[in-house]
Amino acid sequence: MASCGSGGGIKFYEFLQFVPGLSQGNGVAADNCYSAWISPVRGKAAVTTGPNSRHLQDDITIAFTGSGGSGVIAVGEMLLRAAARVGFYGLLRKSYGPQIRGGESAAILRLAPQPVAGFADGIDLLVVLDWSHFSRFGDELILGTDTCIIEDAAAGVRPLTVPAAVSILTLDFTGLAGTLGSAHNNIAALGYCGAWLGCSAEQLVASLNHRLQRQDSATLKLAAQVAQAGMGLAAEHPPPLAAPQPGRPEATRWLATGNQLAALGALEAGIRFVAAYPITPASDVLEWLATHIDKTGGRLVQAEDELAAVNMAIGAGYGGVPAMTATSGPGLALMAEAMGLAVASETPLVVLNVMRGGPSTGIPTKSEQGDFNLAVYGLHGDAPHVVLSALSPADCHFTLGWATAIASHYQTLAVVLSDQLLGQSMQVLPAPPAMPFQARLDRAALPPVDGEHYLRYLDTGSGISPMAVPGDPGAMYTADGLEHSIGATPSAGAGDHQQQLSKRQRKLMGLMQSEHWAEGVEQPEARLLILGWGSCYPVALEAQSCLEAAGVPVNVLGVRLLAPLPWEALQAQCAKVSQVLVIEQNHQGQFARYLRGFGLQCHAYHRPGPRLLTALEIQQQVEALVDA
Amino acid sequence: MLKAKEYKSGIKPIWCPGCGHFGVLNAITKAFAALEQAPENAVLVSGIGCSSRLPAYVNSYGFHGVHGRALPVATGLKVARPELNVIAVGGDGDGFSIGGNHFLHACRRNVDLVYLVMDNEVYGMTKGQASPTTPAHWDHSKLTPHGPQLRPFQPCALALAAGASFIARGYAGDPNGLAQMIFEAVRHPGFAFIQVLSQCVTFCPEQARWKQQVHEEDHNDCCDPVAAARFLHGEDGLAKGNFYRNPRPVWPPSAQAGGAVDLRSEFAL
Amino acid sequence: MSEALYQDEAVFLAHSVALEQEATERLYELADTLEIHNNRSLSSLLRELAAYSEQHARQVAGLCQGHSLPGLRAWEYAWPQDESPEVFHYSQVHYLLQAEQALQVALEVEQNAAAFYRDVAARTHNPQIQRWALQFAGEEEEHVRKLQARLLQVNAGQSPRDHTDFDPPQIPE
Repeated sequence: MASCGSGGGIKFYEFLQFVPGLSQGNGVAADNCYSAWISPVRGKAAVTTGPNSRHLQDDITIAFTGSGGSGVIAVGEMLLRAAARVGFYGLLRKSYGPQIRGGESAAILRLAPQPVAGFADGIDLLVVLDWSHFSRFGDELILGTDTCIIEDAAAGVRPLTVPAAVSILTLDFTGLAGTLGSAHNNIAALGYCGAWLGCSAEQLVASLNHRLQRQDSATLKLAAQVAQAGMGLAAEHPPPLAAPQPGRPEATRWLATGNQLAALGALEAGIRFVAAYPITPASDVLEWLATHIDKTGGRLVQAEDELAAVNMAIGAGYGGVPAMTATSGPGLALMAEAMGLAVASETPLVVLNVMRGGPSTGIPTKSEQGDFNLAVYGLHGDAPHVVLSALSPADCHFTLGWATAIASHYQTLAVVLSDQLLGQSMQVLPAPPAMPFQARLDRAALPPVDGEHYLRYLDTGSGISPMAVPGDPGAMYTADGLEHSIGATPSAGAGDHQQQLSKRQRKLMGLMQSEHWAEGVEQPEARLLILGWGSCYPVALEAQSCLEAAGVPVNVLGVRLLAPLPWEALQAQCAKVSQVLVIEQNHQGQFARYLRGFGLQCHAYHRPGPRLLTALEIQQQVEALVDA
Repeated sequence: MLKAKEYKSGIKPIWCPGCGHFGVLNAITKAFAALEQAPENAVLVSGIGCSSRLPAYVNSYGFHGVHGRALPVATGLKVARPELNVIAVGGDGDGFSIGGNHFLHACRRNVDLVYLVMDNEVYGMTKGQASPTTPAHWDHSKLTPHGPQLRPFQPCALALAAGASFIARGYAGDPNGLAQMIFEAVRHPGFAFIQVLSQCVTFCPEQARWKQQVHEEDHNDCCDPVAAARFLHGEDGLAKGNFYRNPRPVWPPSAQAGGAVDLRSEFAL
Repeated sequence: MSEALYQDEAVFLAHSVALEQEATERLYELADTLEIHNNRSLSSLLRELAAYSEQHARQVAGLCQGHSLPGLRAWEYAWPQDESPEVFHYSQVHYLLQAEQALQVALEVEQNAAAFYRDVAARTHNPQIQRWALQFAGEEEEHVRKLQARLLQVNAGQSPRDHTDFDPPQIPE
């Protein structure tokens, strides 16, 4: 057994702190109640302005890999749940091949004593149940020279790509399970890692039972025995690195995926109709909604295709019932025509797009931020609408709630961009505060009926027209995708067209006043701003920590309101520094191009998935800019 | 209680003189009068095409959406607001070509809707191209100068195969008979499909002859899908009447009452 | 319903009211459409015809006072054909319709209406219904004569007909 030092090559886990005074006016909402679980160090954070000295030495990244139904994803989930019970916060991401079952898969966990929003770059402990498809992960799993590997004795031939210098401990999980009459080496590995993290047998068995709840008692009992045998192995042959210490969290904590949190946020904000067409990686949003929406008195319909799904949601929204659908890139493209209809007819509609590698079928199981252009620019005609991005798995809850409220209040389309990383990652988080948003149609002031026509599309001061819904007597109108007059009669007139176009654009300007448009963390003396959106925000925060440790203070901003862009507020943030670096996970730098269209002078760093952006490469980009 | 005429919105239709859609509009208003329909509780949903302009002409709520998607909009609305009377209307291109998939699945799903297709065997709004129901040798369109050369779509037979529980064919030249069909379709629990022969005298002047050719074929009591299929595969497409009526459970089943529910506890550790 | 039509005064009156009202509505509908399609001369001719029917409808409505008319559904009327006898059938009109053709159709439907009332008069056993039916038939026949005269006038003054359509239908969507 070779010895193995603790810590990967890139271990800078400092999280930076909120700077007071950002939440006023057009500032950044650094202090809203959700910040605690978007950026991790609420409370203490709001104070400091000096260099940060709280380096986290006690977080760890563990990866499980395997293939052929070896159950590594299940192990990851069970270990995260058990570790959470011990007191860890953490995050788990899943990487699948495209196969229905049996392809390469990996579960990557990051555990720490305090909330974590993003992943570290390196892997401290790699548990390999099967080497056979390991090379397919390519650069997705970064092995440093100080990564420790635990391999099952039955894992097969180790690929040549594994660095020679790493320490490797071979343990016979398969044999151990086999002596008990079980084929589940993964459960032995669960017991092994769980014991190392300080989990009790009860905690591990509770996790097993949660995962295997539909199994019979004999199966559960055997699994418990295998796990305990694995625990015993940890006592004899512990991993050659120091075990991290759990925290002592006081608040109620949750374990949930970004997709589940998005679905919950939608229901809590008032969504009562969902139209669903399955697509990876959005299906689990829809599945969660399907098993929960009935309890709220709402309904979910499985549609025949995405065209039907989005139009069904529009039908319900027209009926005054807050409605949504969820999809991924190809589905969003199919929905684009009807999204234009929602804009023109001013029908509330929420579309959650959980992005994957594209274009076309692309890389369905893996993350990328390639749908920015489609979401922002993809509608036909001049079609002002709202595009939001969720900034962490936990933020999916907040952002879906906000989108639901926006769609109803502004009678418009709100697209939320999430991605596979945010959506399918599982996070241990403080229980989110009560949903601050509610869908509400502004129907109070029904306008006078002018002769024969209810003035559904009246050009009001705010640009928001009164909206009657079927059942309201005396206000009958026909909602129309044809351009129309204020009285909802079809019109090809230039005057009506100009008036309605302007109205639909103007009404969204109310959003410019919102403090929720971005999240950010500032540092004193920062001369550079890392500007990102969606799942890049946690990566930027991670990079900020690394840079601070290297003596380079930077500001970080994650933009939640992508369109309409609060350009003045963004300019104010950019004016605080001398350089801006825009980061994103796509090939073309779609967000950076968008910002340059507004006139922003910025550097851009972008790269396609599925290899996730790392804090290290952001750090290197920043250092190069600062040195120059 | 409103008279049929009072169910017209007062907006003047853009349709050509002689268009069958006027007959359908009259039939709907007559059916509404018979149903004593509260105007605010009815919604007409349409896609794109000449016939899809209809909702604006009726004194009720309406939704004029995009091409081919009337049924999904109507489905979403009806499922979300089951107390409303929701009627989807449109043409043969809208319903059987671009919206064909929705037609099949609406028949299958059996949501309590009425779907009224004004079939004139032509795309009127884009100036007379062949539609799925155009006869194979109809060569009046520049887009298909030798005719579409395809077997016409058989909407009623398809509806039967896809599971529609009410299938009828009306004729726009008989608004009173059509009004009765609509009246019964609204009362039918589940998805009711009515194909309406609605002549386009502008692009298919030969359809003026329908007045002489349409014949009555009432199979009012037919709830046997095999008998209905045999009839529908043998008829000339110009029969009017009720072809099939076989109520089956409506989707969705009645909703559970909503209220304060605990959605959060499952996430707590 | 047909027996009631012949024997029940209220049912007969309901038919008479509907006959004139439907004729009026159809003519106005058609006139509006022709106006939208810029066939103004024909549109005004149809309005003229509609005004006749409207006037007649008012007369019939006057007779109904004191009678409680049954609320018949559209398909419960005992018309000899699918529609009430005095309406222009949709298949009979077209955007290129000329005055002569329109008058020809008007003539035909007035004749249908007259025949309807003559038939009622022949079959009824109710003297009141018979009086009304004969009166209405006479009025319809008066319209027929006027229309025949009008047709002669139109035919006499007509220039050679040219069916060239210089402005074919548009493509709005």
